[in-house]
Amino acid sequence: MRLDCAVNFKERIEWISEDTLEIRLGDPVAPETLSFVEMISHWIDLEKPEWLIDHCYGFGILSLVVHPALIKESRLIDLLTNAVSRSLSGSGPSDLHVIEIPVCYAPEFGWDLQLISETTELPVDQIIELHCSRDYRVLATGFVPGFGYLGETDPRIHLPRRDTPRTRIPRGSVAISENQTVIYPRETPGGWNIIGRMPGSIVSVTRDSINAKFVMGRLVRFKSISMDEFQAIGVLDDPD
Amino acid sequence: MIRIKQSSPMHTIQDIGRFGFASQGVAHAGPMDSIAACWANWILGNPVNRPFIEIGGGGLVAEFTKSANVAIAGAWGDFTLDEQPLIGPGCYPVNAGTVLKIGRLSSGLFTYFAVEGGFDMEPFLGSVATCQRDGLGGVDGLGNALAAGDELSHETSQLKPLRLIPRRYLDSYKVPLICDLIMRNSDHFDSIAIDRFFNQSYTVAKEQNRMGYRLEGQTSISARSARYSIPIPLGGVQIPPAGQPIVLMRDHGSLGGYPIIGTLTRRSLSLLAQRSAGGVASFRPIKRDEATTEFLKYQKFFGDFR
Repeated sequence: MRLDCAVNFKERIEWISEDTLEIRLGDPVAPETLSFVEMISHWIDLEKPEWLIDHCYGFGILSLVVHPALIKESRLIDLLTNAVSRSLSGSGPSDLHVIEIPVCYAPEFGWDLQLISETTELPVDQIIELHCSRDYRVLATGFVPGFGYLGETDPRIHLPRRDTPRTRIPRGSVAISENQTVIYPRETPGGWNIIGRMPGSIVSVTRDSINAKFVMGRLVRFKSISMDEFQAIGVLDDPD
Repeated sequence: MIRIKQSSPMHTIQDIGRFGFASQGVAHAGPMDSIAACWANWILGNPVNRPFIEIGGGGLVAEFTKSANVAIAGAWGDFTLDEQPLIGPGCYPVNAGTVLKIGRLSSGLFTYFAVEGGFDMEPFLGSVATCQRDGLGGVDGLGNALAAGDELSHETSQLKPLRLIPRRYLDSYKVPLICDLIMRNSDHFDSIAIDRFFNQSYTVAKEQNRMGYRLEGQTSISARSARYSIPIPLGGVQIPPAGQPIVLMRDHGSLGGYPIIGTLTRRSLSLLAQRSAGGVASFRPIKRDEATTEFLKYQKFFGDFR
């Protein structure tokens, strides 16, 4: 793996609030950026620095919530630089196992399919086919527990988010926006274009841990199912 | 323990928040007005992270089955202990059998109710903070609000004399609010958009909840749309394509795709949280260093502050 060893963290850091700073790690879909995130996350999990309250990554940007009284920016830069240069040598292979997610694209679930079809001038069937035609990588996790951003979708079905987010999107809804596709793990507000729904759930939370199907870097594939199949799986699904 | 006799969906158990799981999409939750919440624990001599009740809107009735020192801080209204009116934010000694009534809040949206030692609860993912959106925390651990019939246990305390929070520390939530905003380097906004944003006053819209407050201004402002969802901070001010801001509150998602013009200081965020629909707010830029100095004062005074 080739990485820019002389990472200048100073130029990449911006404080965005009293206790939160962002580090720009580079191109959101480049494998190098994902490696950076893995290195730093690994270092955080191992070291559990006392000045660090929380961290979160999304599309090229790593955000750290810190105790500003316990860490100086210069020290933070040293620590990050060391963490990255030390792990450059040994980076393990990513998980190659592909998860298959069944999706029912019926109009009852695919609220925006008709609109997408009008905007893209593609028949609904072809939009579904394009959505199922490739393997996606989990590019980021977050927003709500279990939520993963998968990419990249076929350029023919790229379109922006809705102008005003919907206040309620049902659990399991499968949606697209720009070059990505997502599943809503539970009912939340959201601005993505809804194309279908998966039966069952993609996350379980216990008293002290979260078990999510979508983990950074993992591969995912969608499979179109009928309404009957959707209902059959929904009944069988173990809530955990 | 205390028995909840009357409650509402805006009454939730909170603590300082659930930290360490943002990378998996877990909201931090915690008190909407963290200044008032910290005062409630502080005046009792509690560590700042002891579980307390956030009372949104008012309308709580609770009965004490044993004696306790009780703090109420934040928005005010018609509050009584056995029909005796409370005289202001502070700490009150309460005997077993007493009934606390928190009437409708008239000066702001949230008030905080804590007991000495805190309410005894089991944490989920390290915190008892209720997050309805994530289905975490609270009395049942599933993110549900307090309900009539709930019982909360706490330690028995030696009664202390009544003690009020000094008036000079209390904020009015009724006056138009000027929010201090830490600007974000961004290529999503041109100078016209930034001028418009700082030079108009906004009103708080009806769409307000623990995830975010929508604001409405005379002129919408335009932002170049973002391609990707990125981490979004507490107090961040998002500008969706419609051009009216959304301020991110405690239950906001960890990632978001709308451009962010800047972040409110934690103090401004607490004060904005107290504004109900129709409340007036405007923005002014503040240097990050100044904001941090103010923030560190709160952290030092309360022991922790987030």
